[in-house]
Amino acid sequence: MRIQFLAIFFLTLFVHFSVSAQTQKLKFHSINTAGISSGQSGAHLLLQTVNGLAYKNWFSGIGFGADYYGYNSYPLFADARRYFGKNDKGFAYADLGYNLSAKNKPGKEVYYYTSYHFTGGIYSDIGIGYKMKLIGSSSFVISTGFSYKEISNKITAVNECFAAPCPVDYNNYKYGNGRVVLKAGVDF
Amino acid sequence: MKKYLSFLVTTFVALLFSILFSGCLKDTCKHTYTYSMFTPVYKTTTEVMANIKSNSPLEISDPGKIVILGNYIFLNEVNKGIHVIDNTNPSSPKNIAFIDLPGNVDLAVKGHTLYADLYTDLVVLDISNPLNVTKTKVVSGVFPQRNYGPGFYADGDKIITDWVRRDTTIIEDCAHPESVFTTPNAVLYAGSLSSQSGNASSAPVGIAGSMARFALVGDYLYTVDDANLNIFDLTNSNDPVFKNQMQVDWHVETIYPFKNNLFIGSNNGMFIFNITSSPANPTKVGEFTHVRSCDPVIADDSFAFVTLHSGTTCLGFNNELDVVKLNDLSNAELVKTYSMTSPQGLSKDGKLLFICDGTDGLKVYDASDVQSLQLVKQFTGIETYDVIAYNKIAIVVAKDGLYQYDYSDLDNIHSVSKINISK
Repeated sequence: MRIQFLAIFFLTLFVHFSVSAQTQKLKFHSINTAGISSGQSGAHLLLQTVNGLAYKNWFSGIGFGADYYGYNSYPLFADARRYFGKNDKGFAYADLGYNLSAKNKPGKEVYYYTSYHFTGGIYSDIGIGYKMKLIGSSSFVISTGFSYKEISNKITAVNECFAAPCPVDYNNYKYGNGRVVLKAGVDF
Repeated sequence: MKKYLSFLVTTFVALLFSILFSGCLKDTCKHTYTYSMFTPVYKTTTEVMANIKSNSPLEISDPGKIVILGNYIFLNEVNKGIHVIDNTNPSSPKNIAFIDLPGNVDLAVKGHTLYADLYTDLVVLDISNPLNVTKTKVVSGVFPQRNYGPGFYADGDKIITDWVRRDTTIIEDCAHPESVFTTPNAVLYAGSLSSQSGNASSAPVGIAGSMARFALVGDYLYTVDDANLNIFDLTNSNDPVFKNQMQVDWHVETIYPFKNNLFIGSNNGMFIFNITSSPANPTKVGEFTHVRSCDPVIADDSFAFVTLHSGTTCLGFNNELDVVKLNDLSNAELVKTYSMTSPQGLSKDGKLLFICDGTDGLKVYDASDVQSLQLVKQFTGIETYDVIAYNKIAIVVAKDGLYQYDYSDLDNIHSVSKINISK
């Protein structure tokens, strides 16, 4: 269901820009940032690249990142931002997408397992930022916001028994991480 | 100046933004799990004892240990009893009777006598007429480790004959667990015992699978529990006498007799006991230790074959076949290790080695050269547990049925029959 939603979302964006491109001047941007996400689990590295098109004081693109907060993951998301203020230096952004699971191992909360399978969940990020002009058309970008990501782990645990096949327990762990993110990078 | 002022304002707003969301800075963990709660169904001891006989055949639903003798297959239905299957024609086996034995997980057959456990008791049955099995003796309390789960105790007047299962789904906060180790109310405790593979005495001995925990050699019945080797004197086959108990290791799983040696598999290794000089007091003559794992074992004159598998509470992460040299029993030496998927029961007939490799099915190897096992045939699509290869027929206990394979022609090893398991 979520994947279908995301597909529709990305498709809508694509159609929107395709139509706009026919009549308006669009400019490609690649925003590459590194940062930290900080919450109950401490502060962890966050890397992202967002690539898309700017139109007037709007920008929309598709982002991909590596997120090391909690269980490691690779968020794939749609990004939209609106620039404001003098020379459009301030901006507000919103990201929504799917949090793909990286190769993880169950943590201490899982006390016994035979096998495990991590799957992704929702990824979102909303915040504000500021950009400063560097050389040419590139800018230094800094932003802060609130991000929430989910990841699930399906655990299979085979019980001891006298003779096979032994009874199997199925457990599902769903993790949600709400944290503050602080990112800095370059907008080309 | 204005530029920096603007930056400072944005930074301030950003900090304000962070504070506003600080209440949302939370890591959550929701743990959903389903467990089965079992409620016991009791019968009086009198009722249970009166029902230990050949009853109408039941469908196989949870097969366990297996023993073959002559044209008959005795297949344990875990904790319920024993199926009697007429295998005169392996291509058309007939399920002819069911012996009700609550708590039964192990069995051994010698001549016309079947030995089986009933929770803590050893039951002796006369099977000279499989359609009219009769109870001849009950030796009480010889397997004390076969107790019930928490909250349930052996009762002199009542015996648990069945369990009613109820699935319950629990959702808990695993970020702040309050009772992570929720225990199902009444799951039967492990411990246990089992059946065996044969040697000779006056009466023919049933051939058992490698997962067996009962072993018959000569006039003795050897059983293993979680830590011990128990010895029963069968001089009078209808009147087993408990003779001795010896500590072997922790987490003992299987026992396999070959000639005058008992090969005992535990989580930690294989232990060899010799019974030549004193069958009632076996002497430990060798051992082979390995990483912790579940490990059925079989042996021939020269080698022992040990399968290690992970995936249960035996712990361990190895899935392999170890071939161990037995020239010098006091110095059993690993010859070669073969990687497997999840190997369990195994059997050997001549140069052919049969391995139940879990979800990888049944594998048949030419083991003429143990340094280089050659896969002759593999049957996939079945989840196999134990096998007995005897007289050119391999009987395989699998998750979905009892299979039989004809291996009289190595170039054409083929399935001859299957008894389905009802679920």
